[in-house]
Amino acid sequence: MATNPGTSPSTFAWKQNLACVSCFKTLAVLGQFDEAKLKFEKAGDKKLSDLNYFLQSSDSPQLLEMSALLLTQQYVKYISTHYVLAAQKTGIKWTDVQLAMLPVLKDKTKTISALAEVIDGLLKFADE
Amino acid sequence: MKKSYELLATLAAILTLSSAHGQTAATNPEAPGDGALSTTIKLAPKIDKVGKWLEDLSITPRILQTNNGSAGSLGVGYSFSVKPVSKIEKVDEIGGPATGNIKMYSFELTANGLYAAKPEVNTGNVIDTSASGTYLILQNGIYAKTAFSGAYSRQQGNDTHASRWEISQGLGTWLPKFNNVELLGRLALARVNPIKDGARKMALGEALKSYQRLEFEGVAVIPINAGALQKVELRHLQFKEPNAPDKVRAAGLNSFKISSIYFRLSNSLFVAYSKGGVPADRKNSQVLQLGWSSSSL
Repeated sequence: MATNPGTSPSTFAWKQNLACVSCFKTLAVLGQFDEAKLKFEKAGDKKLSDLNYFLQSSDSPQLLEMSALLLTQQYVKYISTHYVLAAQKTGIKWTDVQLAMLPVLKDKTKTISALAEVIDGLLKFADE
Repeated sequence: MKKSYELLATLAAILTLSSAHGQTAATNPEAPGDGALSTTIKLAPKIDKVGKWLEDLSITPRILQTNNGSAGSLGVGYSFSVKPVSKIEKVDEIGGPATGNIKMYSFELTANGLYAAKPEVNTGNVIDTSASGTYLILQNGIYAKTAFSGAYSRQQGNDTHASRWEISQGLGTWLPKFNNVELLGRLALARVNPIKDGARKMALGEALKSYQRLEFEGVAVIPINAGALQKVELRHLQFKEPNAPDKVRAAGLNSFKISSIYFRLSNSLFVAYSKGGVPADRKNSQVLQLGWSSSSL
């Protein structure tokens, strides 16, 4: 599990655990990259701006937010039905996860690993 | 009316409390009106989370001095922010299947300014305010957001003022059954302040004034993820000035549109083609950032 996601320096490591694998798999299933061309080991460093939801033809922040929020909905729908999960803290709901993902998804400097870290900060996976 | 009395009572209590805890003299570089040589006596520090929805409040008596030798003035600087409406409805418990549905809405108002007993000494704005509100629904793969924002500022003792506003509607959908295709659109009506628009100024033959403009943008994102092609984006952006002056209309400056097709290849390369143009203040909307592109105007 990540410690205080969003603070630096980060202690989060991209590795073969459910926090990272679930992020990689969910984004692949949602058509965000070609799984045949991106190996898991290197995916943590992949910029989110290289994924398909991140608009390249438009510089509109409104449309980027729209695209990112739509992705969060598909993301939590998939991950909640394919991975055994609990919240890290009482009271956290799926909406909190989505709203935590949003600023990361809109930041073109962030990576898939950074997204996994933010999600892992709120969720407890079966291997934790 | 009762709430107004409660607010006034709260303000009075704040001022009393601040005075009782001692006053300090300090220069406040962030206070409005610093165009004038001034000294600030800071009476009330910034207060956060006052009452239910008053986010912060600052009232700062000031002594304004001029740099031309004429007499100064007493003044009062102020700033406040209210957020009377802000709600996020959360429905999905973690541990069960998520719908990912969200409903949220908010409204906020901020204002600051400086009032001087002698208006001619006040080089800041007597009021500088902005308001914004949003209503957002994300439900079953459909996104809808209505938003408005506005701002108004006015100087003291003359008619110099400025305003801008925008209302917008966003609508988008994610289609899992169609290879995760996304359709996104937004429509906005805004008051535009054309600060640098040489073509418009030449057409009008007079100083530029603000005007209303409609703006529409639609984007389709089509994931491919096959061979060297990662995705295709189709985009259309259009501007229209509904009540354009005849001279602007005759110069063809009342309507703009640009259409683009964008092919994202592996290794972050892309090929793009655009046709059309955009208004002078939105030239950045015409720029594609990486790889190489071909453009025909």
